[in-house]
Amino acid sequence: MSFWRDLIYFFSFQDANIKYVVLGTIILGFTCGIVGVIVVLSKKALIVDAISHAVLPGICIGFMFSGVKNPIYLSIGGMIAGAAAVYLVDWMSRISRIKKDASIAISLSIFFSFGVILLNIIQHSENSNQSGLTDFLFGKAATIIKSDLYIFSIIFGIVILTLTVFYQHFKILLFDKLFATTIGLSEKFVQGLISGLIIISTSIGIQTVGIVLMSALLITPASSALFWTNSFKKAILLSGLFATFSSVIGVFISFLSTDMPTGPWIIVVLSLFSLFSAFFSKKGLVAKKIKLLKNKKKLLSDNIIKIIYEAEKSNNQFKKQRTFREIKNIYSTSSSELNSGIKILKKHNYLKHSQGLYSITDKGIIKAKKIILLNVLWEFYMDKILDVNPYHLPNGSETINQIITPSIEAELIKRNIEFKIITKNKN
Amino acid sequence: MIKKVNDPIIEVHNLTVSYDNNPVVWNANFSVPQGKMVGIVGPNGAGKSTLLKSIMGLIPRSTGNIKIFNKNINSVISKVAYVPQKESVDWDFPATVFDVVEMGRYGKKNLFKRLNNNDRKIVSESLEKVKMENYHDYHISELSGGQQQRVFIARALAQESDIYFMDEPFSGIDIATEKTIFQVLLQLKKEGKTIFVVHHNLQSVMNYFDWTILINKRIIASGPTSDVFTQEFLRRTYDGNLTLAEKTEKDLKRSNL
Repeated sequence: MSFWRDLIYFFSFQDANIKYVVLGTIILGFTCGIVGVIVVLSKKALIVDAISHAVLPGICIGFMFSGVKNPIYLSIGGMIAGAAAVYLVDWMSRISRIKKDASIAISLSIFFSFGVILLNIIQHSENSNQSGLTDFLFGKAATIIKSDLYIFSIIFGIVILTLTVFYQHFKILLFDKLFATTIGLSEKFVQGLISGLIIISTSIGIQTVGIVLMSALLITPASSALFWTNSFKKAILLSGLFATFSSVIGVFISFLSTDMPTGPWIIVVLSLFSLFSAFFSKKGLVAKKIKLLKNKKKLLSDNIIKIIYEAEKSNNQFKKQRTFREIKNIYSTSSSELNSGIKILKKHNYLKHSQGLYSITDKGIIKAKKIILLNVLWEFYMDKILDVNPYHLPNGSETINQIITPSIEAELIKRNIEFKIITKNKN
Repeated sequence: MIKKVNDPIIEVHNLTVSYDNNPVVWNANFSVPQGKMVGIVGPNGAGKSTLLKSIMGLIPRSTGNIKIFNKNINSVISKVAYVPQKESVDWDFPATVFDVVEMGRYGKKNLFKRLNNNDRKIVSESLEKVKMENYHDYHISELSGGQQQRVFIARALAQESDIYFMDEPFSGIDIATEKTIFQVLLQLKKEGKTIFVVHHNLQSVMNYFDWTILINKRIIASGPTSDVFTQEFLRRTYDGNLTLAEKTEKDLKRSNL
């Protein structure tokens, strides 16, 4: 029962501290989620890691300046250090032969080790306010207080405003750089905006998930969202919702047991989302596999009925009753495959089955004729309209159905193709 | 042979583009009148695409002066549409066919403005012109190569420009698509637009273009196709001059040393 009591206590916001923590987490999650889509589509996933690690020395210096954990000082320090990291990465790959990924790794380790040294110095100092600074490593949402919310909201506002005002810029540049340049869009400017968005969202995001897991908070919700939609706008919204939801769950879990760090739990929940999306979304693995199997089955049953019909036609003896073995003699394949094909044909009432004997139905004959017609149309289409030799193309009625749409079929038939089919079949 | 044009829509003077001291386009001078379908023809590596890109200002030029409508390209950029080779696109980007063609409207408008119904009408019409009206909601990666090419042509149509630069629009597509695209380009020409097409299939040059530019690093010939597309000029474009271009390259390198 204590779980339900905790649940109600947590989400009823009786506790003002919890209210601030949850509100803060929602703002953070949503901000990072929507920026994440831009990060993934601009292929800046690696640079996020460099920036988040670079934020640590910035925060330490910010703390040294102010002497207290003032969120304004810490955030500004973090942002300056983040920007310095972006500049360092660019500069290194520009002036030397160091490749971009290498310069990202170099910059990441330089800044992070510097940050860890500063952290050590602060911990050994007399300043008693320093406790909790190490929480930036893995994140602790419980430390969010009312004054943090102001900073979060301002940054949230800036991110939303930038995304709305420059929405077209992002969309066009991320999709087609060359085209963007031809309509007079400055690539440098938009790339700068993107870096800016990453830096400001990182500087607040590390409060909940920490430096080490920051890139996951940006990248995981976005890549999950991209599985579900073909619209840039919807991907942004969906990613924001994924991140928000996971953040709140993560915070709740770490509230249940005090020793649990927030960041790792948020990322675990996010990863479940991502895993689920990879398997079960419209573009996911399961959907792909099902489509493949369906196609295979359709092809198989189409082929079986077509070959039975052709055999009957050449003997001029229709609706003959056959045993399973006799069908296997006409359409040679493994028994299990043939069985599954026959099952489908029976289900659609193309084949009749009584006392171990199979025979083709009227409906089956119509179906077989239709398949043959489509095959001939396909060859004609390839040969006469697309001007390619059909024998150079992989065979398969799945492509036929794709290319010979009902409207093309009608068009082809209108062009008196039927006549050709009749003559061809007579030969 | 470079035909002089009295009232040109585009003039190119002394254009040289080089990558690391290697001239890719060498001292190009030509002009083209309005309302022509212009083929840019030459062997691989002759600088056909580079010529287009440098006119568009997409790559820096070493020397040269280009006038479009007697003005600098930057001030007439909304009157010029460019169809790049398909490789420049991120195929995983979440965008439908309609989204992609919509992007063409932003070439005409301020990027901060939202599209209105008239814009969407133009987008639909552009898709109809390339016979892709049944594919509005398809993701671009779901299309075949020829269909993708048609979508990018539709995007250029939606730009409603006066000059079209197309980088190998006919490569890697089937004949049916090539015919569709060619009909669309013919229609543009009828409307008085000027179209530049980078092309590598010599067999169709005579039928497709009324103006031809033969290029092999330098401009071999530029003028009406019937005057330019001769044995003599073709021989110079495809073999004779290959060695000359290489010699020039070597001389240039030597003079740098």
